[in-house]
Amino acid sequence: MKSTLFVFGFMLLFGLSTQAQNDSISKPKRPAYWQIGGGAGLARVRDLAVSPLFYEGMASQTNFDFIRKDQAVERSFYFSNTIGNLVNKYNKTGLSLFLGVDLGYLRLYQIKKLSNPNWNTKIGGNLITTTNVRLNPVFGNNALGFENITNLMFSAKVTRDVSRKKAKEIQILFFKKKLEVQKRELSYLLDLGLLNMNFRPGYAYRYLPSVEKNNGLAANLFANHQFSIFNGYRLKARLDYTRYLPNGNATQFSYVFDAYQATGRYEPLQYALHSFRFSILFKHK
Amino acid sequence: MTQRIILFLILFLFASCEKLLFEPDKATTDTLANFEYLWNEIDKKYSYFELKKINWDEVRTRYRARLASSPTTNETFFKLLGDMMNELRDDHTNLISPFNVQIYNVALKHKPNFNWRTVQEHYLKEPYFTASFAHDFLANKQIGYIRYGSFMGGFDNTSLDFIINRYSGTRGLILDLRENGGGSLDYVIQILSRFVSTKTLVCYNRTRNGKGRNDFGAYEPFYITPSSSRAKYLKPVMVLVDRGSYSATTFFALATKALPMMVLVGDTTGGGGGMPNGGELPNGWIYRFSISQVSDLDKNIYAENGVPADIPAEFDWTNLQKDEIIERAIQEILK
Repeated sequence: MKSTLFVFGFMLLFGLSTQAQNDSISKPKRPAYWQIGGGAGLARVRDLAVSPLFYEGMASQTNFDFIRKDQAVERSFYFSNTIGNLVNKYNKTGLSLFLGVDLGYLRLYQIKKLSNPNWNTKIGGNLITTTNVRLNPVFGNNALGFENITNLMFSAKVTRDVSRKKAKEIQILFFKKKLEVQKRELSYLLDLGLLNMNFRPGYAYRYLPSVEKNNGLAANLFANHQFSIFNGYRLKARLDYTRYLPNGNATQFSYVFDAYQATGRYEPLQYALHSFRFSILFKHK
Repeated sequence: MTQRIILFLILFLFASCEKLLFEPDKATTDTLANFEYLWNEIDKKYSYFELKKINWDEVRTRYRARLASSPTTNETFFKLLGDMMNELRDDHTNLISPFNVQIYNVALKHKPNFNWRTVQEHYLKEPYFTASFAHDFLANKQIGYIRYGSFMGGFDNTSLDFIINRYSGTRGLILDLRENGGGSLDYVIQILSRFVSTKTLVCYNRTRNGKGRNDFGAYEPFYITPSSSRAKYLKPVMVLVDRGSYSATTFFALATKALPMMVLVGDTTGGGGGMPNGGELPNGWIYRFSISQVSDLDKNIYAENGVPADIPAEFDWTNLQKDEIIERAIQEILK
């Protein structure tokens, strides 16, 4: 099963990569950006293997992306991490540390029939792998939760050009301000998990090798973890408002919603995050 | 304006989207829901139903009837769940609420065999206290005595080196683990690694892996590997145990059965061979219980009920100037 998955994933990425290479031969080089950002939001996590309760709280996020895009194609490698101290309905003072790290690759192609100078529609795929470390000391030997969730997702992005095409002057109280022509975009990206995999704790959650420190970090983290495929779901949505500056850089305000259920072999992990981010995009020379 | 409306609609849609995706929050203080949750968790994962001949279905019937027949406050409900967990006769089984902790306390159900005052007053003339160990020479420096009161007590290899080197010229050691209620398995491994010269299989472990009460994974071998380039002691070691020797100490005691130079002296250990795993009830109370079995080299799982001493001995509480168990260990080393 594992090999089928890897072959499928490799073929998909290889296929996309080949197509991109052909694109790059026939078209000028696409603008590229380094994106650095941060934000905060509300995280909600429940691991039914150890608790029927949701743990909720504020979580902070940082993200670092490399994006190459134009009207026809968009590619991005991205990294983000989320960290928060979450509590449940009854134990408000307990410590339950959540750390999640996402690594991903997004690739989108324009659908010409659904695009015009004002609206641009792209579809493609998003491969995302998320690794979570959760620490809740009240669970004793089950204090450390560790899992990986990997999803191959169908992606669709709609971008609306909301540029200011004419300079204008506005008056705020006694002051006048001139607003220059500015390129601006409002975009909405939706990712739906097609192939959902996870690497989760086994039936009893924690095993003897995992509590013996002498066995090394790998045994501590992975003892009796189970790999599961075609299991669970993931939905990710992102709304971006991007303003381009005269020097080619840009600023971006985003609302990101990410939710998944990693059903695993035994009991599921459920996660949802609503976050607001601010990012700066530096044009890559 | 249209753009703003679209923006707000999207935000509103996803603001509560996970409520559509996930099952509802199961948080509740309903007593029956919490009772059923706990009973089911134990049913799915507890590891010693068969060894202890526990009819868990009958326990459910009995305690459900008790729940239905009496009015419940938080405290009476805690007592009811605690009593139900005590049917497992297992000190690795606990229920923890903001106002109380349920404990089975196997040691209190048996005669005590340790009095630290007796040891301090009549055996330790010039004791050293190194990390979590108290130690001294006995019997004209022919024997080293080491007291380790809890496997929660930290130490490092330098401390162990000092102790092992200090008693390297003795004929034997007494390692006193009476009333040692357990702690970290790492310390078990760290100490035992000083008493073996080759990698030694000492026991097996297997863990529940299915809903059937006798569903277990494969036996996993547990080895002790000698501590490389560190001080070792390969002469006789008398390990003193009693019913208060629980959990990691029972694990240690079981491991000695595979090590010919180590001899258990005293009473049967308290048990606690399973690894306790924790979880949470819908009302926020915390529980834990054993999910694995430890077995000897013949794959017998008696350790949960206690590892019997190789040389039984009892403390005589009518004479507090003498520790009969230490005396018996001295006799065994000097014979």
